[in-house]
Amino acid sequence: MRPVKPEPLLSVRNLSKHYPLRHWWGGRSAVFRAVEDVSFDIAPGETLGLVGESGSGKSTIGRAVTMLNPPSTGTVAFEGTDLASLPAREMRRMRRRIQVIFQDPYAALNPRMSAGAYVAEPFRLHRPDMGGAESRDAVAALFQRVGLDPRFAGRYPHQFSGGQRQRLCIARAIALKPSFIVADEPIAALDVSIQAQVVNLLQDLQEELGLSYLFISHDLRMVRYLCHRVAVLRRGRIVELADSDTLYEDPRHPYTRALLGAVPVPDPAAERARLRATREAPAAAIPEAGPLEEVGPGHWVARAAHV
Amino acid sequence: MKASPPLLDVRDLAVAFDTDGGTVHAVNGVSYALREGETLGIVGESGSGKSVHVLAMLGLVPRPPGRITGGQVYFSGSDLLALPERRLRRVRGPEIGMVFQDPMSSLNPAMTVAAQVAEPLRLHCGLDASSARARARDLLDLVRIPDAARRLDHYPHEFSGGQRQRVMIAIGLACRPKLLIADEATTALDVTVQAEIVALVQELKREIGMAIIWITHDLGVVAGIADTVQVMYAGRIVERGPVDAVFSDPRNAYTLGLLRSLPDLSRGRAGRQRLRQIEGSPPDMRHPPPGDPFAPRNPYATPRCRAEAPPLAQVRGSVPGHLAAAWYDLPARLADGAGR
Amino acid sequence: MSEAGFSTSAEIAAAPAAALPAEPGAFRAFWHRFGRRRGALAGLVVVGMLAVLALGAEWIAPFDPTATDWGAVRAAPDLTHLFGTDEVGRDVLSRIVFGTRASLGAGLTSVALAVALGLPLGMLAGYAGGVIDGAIMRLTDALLAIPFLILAIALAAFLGPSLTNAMVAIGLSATSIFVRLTRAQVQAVAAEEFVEAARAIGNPPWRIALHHILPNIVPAILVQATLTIAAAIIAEASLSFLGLGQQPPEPSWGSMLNTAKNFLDQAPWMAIWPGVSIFLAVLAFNLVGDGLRDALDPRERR
Repeated sequence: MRPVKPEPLLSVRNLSKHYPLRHWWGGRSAVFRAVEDVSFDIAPGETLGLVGESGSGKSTIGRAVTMLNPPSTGTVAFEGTDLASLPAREMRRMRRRIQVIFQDPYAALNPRMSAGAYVAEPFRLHRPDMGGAESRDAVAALFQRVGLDPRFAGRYPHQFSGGQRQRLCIARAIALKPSFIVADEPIAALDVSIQAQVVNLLQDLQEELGLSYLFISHDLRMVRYLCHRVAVLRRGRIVELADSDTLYEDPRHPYTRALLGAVPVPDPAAERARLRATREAPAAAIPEAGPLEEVGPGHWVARAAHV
Repeated sequence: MKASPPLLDVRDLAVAFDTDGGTVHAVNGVSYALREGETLGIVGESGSGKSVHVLAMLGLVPRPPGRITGGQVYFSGSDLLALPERRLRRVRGPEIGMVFQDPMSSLNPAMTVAAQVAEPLRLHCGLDASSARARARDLLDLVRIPDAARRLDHYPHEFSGGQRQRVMIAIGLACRPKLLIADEATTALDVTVQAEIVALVQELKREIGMAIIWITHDLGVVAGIADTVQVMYAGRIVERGPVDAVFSDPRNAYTLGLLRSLPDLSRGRAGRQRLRQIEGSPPDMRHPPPGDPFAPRNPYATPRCRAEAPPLAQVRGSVPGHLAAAWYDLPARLADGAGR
Repeated sequence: MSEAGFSTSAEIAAAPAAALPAEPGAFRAFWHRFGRRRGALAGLVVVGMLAVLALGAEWIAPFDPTATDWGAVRAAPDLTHLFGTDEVGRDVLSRIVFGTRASLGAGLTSVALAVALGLPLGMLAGYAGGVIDGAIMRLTDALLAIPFLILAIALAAFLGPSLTNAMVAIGLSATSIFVRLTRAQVQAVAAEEFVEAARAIGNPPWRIALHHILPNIVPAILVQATLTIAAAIIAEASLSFLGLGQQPPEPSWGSMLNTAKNFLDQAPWMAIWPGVSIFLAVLAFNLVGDGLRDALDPRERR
C-alpha cells in the first residue's frame, strides 16, 4: 500500500507533525496537523522533489526528516537507523551524513563569522584530528569546488552576493561528503540569472559525490528539470507521487493539474493561450486527500477522502 | 498610429544612492514612453533599477540617501520630478495606482479593509463616508472578494495572502487611475494564486482600460500579459519591444541568457541538457564595469563592449519599436557559434 | 566551454575576483560610521580626556588632593588654584582630577560586574528556557521593580560605606538590566536561520551559544554597557554624596558636592566644578553609547 523502492537511503513512514492549538484560557485544546501521514523513500543518488504551496507542509517535512524539528509520529529511517530514536549526541554525529541547505542565504550565514570559518566549521566539529593547515587547504578546495575564489575566505557574509552566499552554504554542506542533503527552496531567494548556476552546481555535486537530495521547491520548472521523482503536497498530505516525467505528463490528481496549469510559460503565444484556456475552463473542485493508491508502476495518487 | 502624446514619457532618468561604501548608480539614463491602455512588462533582477526608477518617478525614493541625478518624467503633460510633494500626492493614488510585493506590510494591520479602501476615495475623489463605503464594497466585488459586504469590516490578518493582494489592487484602482504600477505584485504568492491575480488584472484592464506597468523577474508572467516588454540590467534598458518580437528574437545577450536559463516545463529528463547558465554575478553598482555592464558576463561581448556603453537603438531586421543595446549582432554571433 | 564541473566553477570564480574592488575592513567601516556623528566623536574625546586624568592623576594634579592649606580656605579661583580651594584649603582642581579616578573607576568596575553576572544569566535564561528561564526572570523582574538608585543605596547601606562596596552595590543593581537585555537578544538571535544551520551541521548547544549567538549579541551589550556607565557614574556620585561611597578625605565628585552644598553662597566654585564634571562625564558616555549603537549595527547598509 506504500510507495516503496528496494534499499532506500532514506525511508519515511507515516510521518506526522502536529502542533497543539491551545486557547489562552486553557480550555479545549485542538491540534494543527501541519503534516499528516506522509511516507516516501529516497534511493541512493536520487533526487526527490517536494512541491506544494505555502503552508502545504513541505518545509516541515524537510525539518522533520533531519530532526531539526522532529516528527510527532512516524519513523525516519536513514540507512536503516531510526533517527527519532537516536540520542542527541548520536544524532549530532549522524549530521556528518545528513546536511541541509536553507532557502535564504542571507539568513543562513552567521554575520559575525568569516566565510572561511563558516565552511571550516564542520571540520572543527567532526574532524578534530584535522590540523590548521589541512583544514585551510580543505576549505580552499571547497571554495574552488563551489566556484568561489579561496582568497575570499577572510571576508564576511555581507561582502558576498546572494549567489555567492548560497555557494558558501553549499560548500559547508558538502564539506564532510554527506550522502543526503535536504535543499529547502535553495534557489527561491536568488536572482533569475543565478538560479541556473546553483542548480547546475547541485547537479554536478550529485554526480560527483553520489548524493541524494530532498529538493523542496515551489518552482515547478526547476523541479521537473532536477528531480527523478516528485511528490506533490497539499495541506500536509501527499496527493500524488510519481517519477517526474509521469507526473508532469500524466498528472492524475486535480490539485497536481491545477498546480501545473498555473505555471506561466515564457513564450508569449503559448502563455496567452494558457491564460485564455484557464479563463474558459472553471477550476475543478479539489477533494481532500485520502490514502494513496497505486495507479501505475510507481505512480501514487491520493483517493478522495470520505467519498 | 502615433497620434496622441504618450501617457507616460520617461526621459533620461538617473537615480543614485549615497552609501557608506560609495555612490550606487542605481538608474543610469532610462528613457521610454507608455501609451494609454498599454501594458508594459519590466523584467530585471535585484539591482537592475526596475523598481527604483518607478519609485523615483513617483517621489517615493527616500532622500537622502537617494538622489535623482537627472531626467524628466512627463505624466499627462506635467513633469512629475518637478512637482512639489503636495501636488505629487494628488497624482499618486488618483492618477497612478500602485500595488507592491508584500501585501501584508502595505496594509495597516490596525485598520479595517473598508477604511483602507475608502481612504483614497475620501481623500482624492471627494466622496463622503457612506458613499466611499459603498464604493469600497463595489471595489472589493470588482477584485472578486467573495461576500464583500460582510468582509468590509474585517482586518487584513483575516484575509489570505492572495486576498490581501486583491485588496491592494482594489486600493490601487479606487480612483480609476490611468496607470496601474504593480511591483513584483505576485512574487510572494503561490503559483495558483498568482494565476488568479494575473487573470483578475487582465479582466480589470478590459473593464477599466488603464495602462499597466508590471514589474517582475518572471519572464513567464510578462509573456502572457504584456504588450511591450522591457529588460533592464544595471540601471539601464538593455532591450525593449513588442513582447512577441523580444521573446522570439532577442538581440541582447542578457535577454537571451535569461530566456535560455529557464528549464522547459514540457521537456522530460531523458535527453535533457545541462541548464545554460549566465556566468558571474550582477555588477557592484558602486563600481560598475566600464562600457556595457553585462560585458564581463557576456560570451558574445566584443572589445568595444568593454570600452563603451552601447545606446538603445532600433534593431535592424525586426519590427519597429524593437530596441536593443548591443554592439554585437547577436543572431550573427549565434550563427558563428561564438561564446559556446 | 568545457562541461566538466570543476572548470566551470573555477571560471565563475575568476570573474568576481577581478571585478570586486578591495573591501574596506570592518574596523574602518565602523570608524567611518562612528566618526560621522560629531556628538559621538566629541563624547569619545571627553571620555579619552577623563581616562587620561584618571590614569595620570598623580602627574596632572598640581597639588596633593588631600593636603590642607589653612592659609587658603575657600579661596576663589586664581592662577595658583585654577578652580579655587575648599573649606579646608584643598585645591579643587586636584580633587576633581583625582575624583575622576573614583567616578570612572566606579563606573567601569560596577558595569563590568553587572555584565559579568548579567550576561551568563541572561544567556542561560534565553537559551535554556523553561524552568531556569522562569526562575531567573522572576528574580530579575523583582529587582527591576525597585528603582535603580534606591536599590543601589539600600545595598550600599547594607554592605557598609566604602567605594568598593558602592561599586558592588551599583554593579548588583545594574545586573538585572543586562540579564533582561541579554535574554531578549539571545531569543532574537536564536530564532535566526543561521542558528538552525549551526544545529544542522551538528553543533552541540554550548557551542551554538558561544560561537553563534554570543558574537551577535556583543554589540547590543556593548552599547548598553556604555550607557549604563553613565548611569553608574551618577549612582556613584549620589552614593558618595550620601556618604555611602568614597570616604573622606579621599576625593570624589559626589562627596565634594555634599560639602559644597553648605557653602553655595560663599564658595560656589566648590559646587560648580564637580557638578560640571559629573555632567560632562555622563553626557560623554551617553553620546558614545548612541554613536556605538549606530555604528555597530551589524546589518548590511545599502
